[in-house]
Amino acid sequence: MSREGEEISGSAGSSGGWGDRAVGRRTFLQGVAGAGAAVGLGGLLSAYGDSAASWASAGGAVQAGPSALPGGKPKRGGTFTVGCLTQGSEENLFPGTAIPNPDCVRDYALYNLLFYPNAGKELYPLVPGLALSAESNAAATLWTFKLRSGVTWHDGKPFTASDVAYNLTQLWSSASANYSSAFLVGLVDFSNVKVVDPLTIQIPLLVPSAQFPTIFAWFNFGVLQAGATPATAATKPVGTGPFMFQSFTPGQQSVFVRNPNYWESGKPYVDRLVVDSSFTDNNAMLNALVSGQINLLVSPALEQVRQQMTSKQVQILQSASASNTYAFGMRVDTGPFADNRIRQAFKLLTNRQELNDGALSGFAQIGNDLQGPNTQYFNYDLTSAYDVDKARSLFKKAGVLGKTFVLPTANVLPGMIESSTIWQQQAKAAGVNIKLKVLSPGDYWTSVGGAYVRPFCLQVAQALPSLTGQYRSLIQYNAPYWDTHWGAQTPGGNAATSLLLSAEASQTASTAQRLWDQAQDQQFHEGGYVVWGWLPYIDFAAKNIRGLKASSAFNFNNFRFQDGWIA
Amino acid sequence: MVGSQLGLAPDLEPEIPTVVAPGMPGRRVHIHPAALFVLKRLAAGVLTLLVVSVLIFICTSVIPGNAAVITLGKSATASSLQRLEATLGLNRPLYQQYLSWLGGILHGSFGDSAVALAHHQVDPSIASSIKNPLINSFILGGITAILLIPLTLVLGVLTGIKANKAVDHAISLPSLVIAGLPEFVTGSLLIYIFFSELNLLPPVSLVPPGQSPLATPNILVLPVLTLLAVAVGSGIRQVRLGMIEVLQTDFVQFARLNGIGERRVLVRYAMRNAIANSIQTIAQNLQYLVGGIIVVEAVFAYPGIGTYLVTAVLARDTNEVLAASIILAALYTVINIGADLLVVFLVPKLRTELV
Repeated sequence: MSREGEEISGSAGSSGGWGDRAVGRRTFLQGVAGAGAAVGLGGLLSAYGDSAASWASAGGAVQAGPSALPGGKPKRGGTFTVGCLTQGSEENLFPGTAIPNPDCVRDYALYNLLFYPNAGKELYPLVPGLALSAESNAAATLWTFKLRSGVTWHDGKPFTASDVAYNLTQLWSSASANYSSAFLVGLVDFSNVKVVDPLTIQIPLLVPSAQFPTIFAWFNFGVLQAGATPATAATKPVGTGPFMFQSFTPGQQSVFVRNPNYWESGKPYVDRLVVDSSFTDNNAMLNALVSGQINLLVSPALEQVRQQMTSKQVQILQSASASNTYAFGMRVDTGPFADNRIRQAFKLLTNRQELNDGALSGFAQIGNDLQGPNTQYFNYDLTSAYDVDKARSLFKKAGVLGKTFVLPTANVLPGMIESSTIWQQQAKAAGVNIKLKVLSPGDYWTSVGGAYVRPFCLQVAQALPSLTGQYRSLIQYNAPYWDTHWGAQTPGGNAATSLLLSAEASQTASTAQRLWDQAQDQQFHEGGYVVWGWLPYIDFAAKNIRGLKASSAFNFNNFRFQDGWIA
Repeated sequence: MVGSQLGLAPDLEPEIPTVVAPGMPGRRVHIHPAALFVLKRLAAGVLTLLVVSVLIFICTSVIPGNAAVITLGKSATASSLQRLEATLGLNRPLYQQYLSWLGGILHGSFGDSAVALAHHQVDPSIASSIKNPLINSFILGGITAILLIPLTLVLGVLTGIKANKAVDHAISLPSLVIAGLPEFVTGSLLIYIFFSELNLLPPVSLVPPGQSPLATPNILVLPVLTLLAVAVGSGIRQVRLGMIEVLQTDFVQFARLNGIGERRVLVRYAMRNAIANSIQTIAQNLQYLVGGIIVVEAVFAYPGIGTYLVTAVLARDTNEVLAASIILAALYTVINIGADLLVVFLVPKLRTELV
């Protein structure tokens, strides 16, 4: 599958930009960092987003609005009040235990990441955050990050490499302090992390990884001050982000004020950021926006987006590409789905357009059973077929025609229940039954709901800006979100894992492309995911809001409220 | 003499029975039957609450995974799980957990929120997190109740007196239709009229932490109207019916035949009896408010006990769910007992039946 305006080819060399330079050898971010240094921050950040005129279509999916609000000359002052659906007492201020949203809104305001995903149609090249560049040795086993100078913490202390080392060794390596520690455990040699000088840190790896820095563009890796703990962050969070802490009442409201010393010169433009997370209902949230009680709304219900396309009471902001991946997952190592004929049959019986129209109001782009769209080396050329007769035949050969498969589902994210119900009907047409087991939303992705152990599931995966990140997150052996248990299948599990490790280690673009193509081909034909849709990020803004952008990395382009102002 | 004050004939005045206190032969303790009824009703209420508390506790306990497992989620390690379970007392047998929880409630403590503990929140006690939502809901429910009672009575009596006439139809028909609509439909309609069309009132009722909803009273108007619209309709119907029945009774007819003025007949004879019969209906409507408020709070994003309960359930914070549920159950029981007692004291016939 290829997207409008982009020619996809099999080699990294033709994919341009960062791909040529970065993987060529060692200079992962130097080009981008160099551009930043050469033309200043304005030049660097001008890469964010697309123009308002570019929103006519997105790969056949419904495009409700532009990926950037109108610009102009920024105006200082005022308050952004952001509405989010509540997470109740579960809300917290610690990036390591943040879950989307509204934790992420607060964390992106308070803290910075080392690197950010790109705001264009692709998620790469990375955009420097607290780290300006990343360079590896020839084997991609030792990475050196150069950090941004002149950054100060909200308490006035300077940001240094010791802070990053503290995060790596004390917070990001610990499962109890960081939900995403498994991205790094087994990859980073934490005991040998070395502070070279106040603005340089060396990170040795246990296995080679050519796209290692992309892992840090993930919301759980907000950088805390050395010495900070979950307990101190809960009461007195000190970050380097564009807004400083003022108050926080979980499940209700949190207030932040402008950081006058923020390192992005002149930003943020508004004086205050208020996060209202008291909403339990989407309609109430939209009413609050229309009446002016809030001026920004994160992730409206998709039917509300449809409605606003005609009523136009608010501005719709939609990412130009889509990376939020909707999939059904099947365990490949044991149970009914260990037989690849059954996995193939489920892929074949899936009418992806029907799922998109029925469950995601037509906003998604059609998926091709692969994770990690909009990243370098992603294979758009593979196209999933829809063939109910063939699916039935495969079920028959596998001896499961008429059998029932239990699919746990829950109303956690938009379209989950709806897609399960539609898929249930599609399976019936192919001669098998899906019995839905509806779980409590709070249980679905916990051990209580059988997450990452159950044979059959739904997965909605947020984007990481590389296949390395995406596969380390979901697919690689013992990944933190290991739905399909890829790599544990017999026979072939070890070889599949080796292939992924080789692809991850590849330093040259052509080799990396070839190996990632092989790995994706395997996923396409044998993998456990039926990826049926990639959903863009859609947000609402009041009519007088300017300057904000959307990207497929996260809502409001990683919640960059520092870019916006009130007209 | 209560009987005389209510206008009963002296010969209907109940004879006070004598109750012999157990274990004290020869000594007689005089307990008024009404007092005995009150005591019985209170005891039944306490028993009901005890049973409800056991049921709530069992329900929240039998769901797979305890609060510590759910709360720590992916970040759970064996030691952190053990620590949180010990802090919350989840490592003890279930009956001990129940008794400890019950003991806490009797001493005014609802325990700590598992989630707040896991996230190192400054004050994890449920007593402090539930306080403001509870006050907010009391304000919303209280204002609604204050308006609900006279509105139900006045409109109910009016439609009863004017049964099958234009006034009756003008009030009964719309109130019946509105009462039949779910709260979120009524709420949405009111938002459409008063915000989208007239732009008079805010469509949501946001209350910043620490601030009273009374500081911006206009945010209460639409939630109160929604609750009233749903509750008043059925109340009017019941009071109307009671009024029609009373107007057809012998004593009302007899009063009219004796030449007593119609106004006096209505106020003195008919309304008192009709109202007494309507108390249970009003109580039911007040009980409805306890449940209905949950939906209305969600529609208007009002930070009350309903919102608190919904988020606690979503987060599977057992202690928060227990606290909110037992408070709502207690409120329900108190309204029920209060209505029973009021009816007995207002209706002479019932009071004499106690004897």
